[in-house]
Amino acid sequence: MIIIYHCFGGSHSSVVAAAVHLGLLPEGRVPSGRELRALPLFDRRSPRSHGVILPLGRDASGHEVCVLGAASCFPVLRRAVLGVAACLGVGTHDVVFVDTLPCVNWLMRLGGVISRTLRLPWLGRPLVSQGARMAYRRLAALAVSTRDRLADPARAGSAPGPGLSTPARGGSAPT
Amino acid sequence: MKVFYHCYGSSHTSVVAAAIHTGRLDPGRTPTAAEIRAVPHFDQVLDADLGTVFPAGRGPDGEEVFVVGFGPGREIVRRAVISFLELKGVPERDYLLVNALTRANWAVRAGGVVSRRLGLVALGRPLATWGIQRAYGRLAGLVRETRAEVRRRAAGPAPAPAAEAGHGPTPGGRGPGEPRPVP
Repeated sequence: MIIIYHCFGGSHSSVVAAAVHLGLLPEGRVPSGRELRALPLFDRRSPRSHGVILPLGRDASGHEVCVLGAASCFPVLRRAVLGVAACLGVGTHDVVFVDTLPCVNWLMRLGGVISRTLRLPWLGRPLVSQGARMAYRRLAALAVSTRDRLADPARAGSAPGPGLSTPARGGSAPT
Repeated sequence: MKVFYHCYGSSHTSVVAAAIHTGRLDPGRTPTAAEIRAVPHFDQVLDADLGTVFPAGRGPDGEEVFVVGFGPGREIVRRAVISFLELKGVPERDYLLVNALTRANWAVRAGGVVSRRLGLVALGRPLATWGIQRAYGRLAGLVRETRAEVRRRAAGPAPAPAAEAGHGPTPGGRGPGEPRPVP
């Protein structure tokens, strides 16, 4: 299964959620700004990387966890990706898109624009780090619920979470 | 081999290029306005269908041809498609993404906006059709290059050195070796 966390730039909220999913960040406490900034992709990707679906690792169930910056064209992007893949005979039933943007606050947006778009990371990175810490509980809850919902009991040793036991075909996970 | 012609809305340049590729339109003669308007999907696709892939038939070497509109973020969508197919292990030699928008002129663009965006079909469609006629030679050239690339790939395992496999070769109109996605 491929789990794609997506946001605007693929640098902040999606990276944090994917990191929680993979166990790179704690679930039970808010990490420090330093811990966030130590993530390999946190506040690193440029607008030129928008669209690139980048794998971060595999979770305990063997699912590939990826991040994506879809800018403002996610609906078109999703249709095109799944449509082209279907034409090529590629199965898409095992693809789950998870939108992390609903967890994002104004500080993350402001810091992200300053750091990534205006290329002033010395100013934007502290802001976006603080914003990510403020949004952390929501992001972590989203990642944990996604991971548990899609967990393979045979491999992960845990039962799927309540509510959604089967992901929609190539669909977006509710947030 | 599958060939995907893409433009903004899969309504004008991509569908005409696909029609040339599949033999519906003669590459050696500029078609009449009626012939262009009779091409399936010409000036028909709505914004809500951006990203939807439409089949357009088969090319002379048996390759399947499709059209798709990537919308305003075409480079982003294109990178997503390519990186997703890489994740899925699809060989680059199995597909071509060909950007037909590079062969558009101002009349096609303006006519497309007026017809599809503003809904003024009576004004926009004739303008887009006229623009397609003016750009027809360039679109036929794009198809010629694409067909040649299809044959090159069918003939040998190695893609042409000048073309970036799978990324819309020279037919993309950006010259040889389009940049790969930046992680």
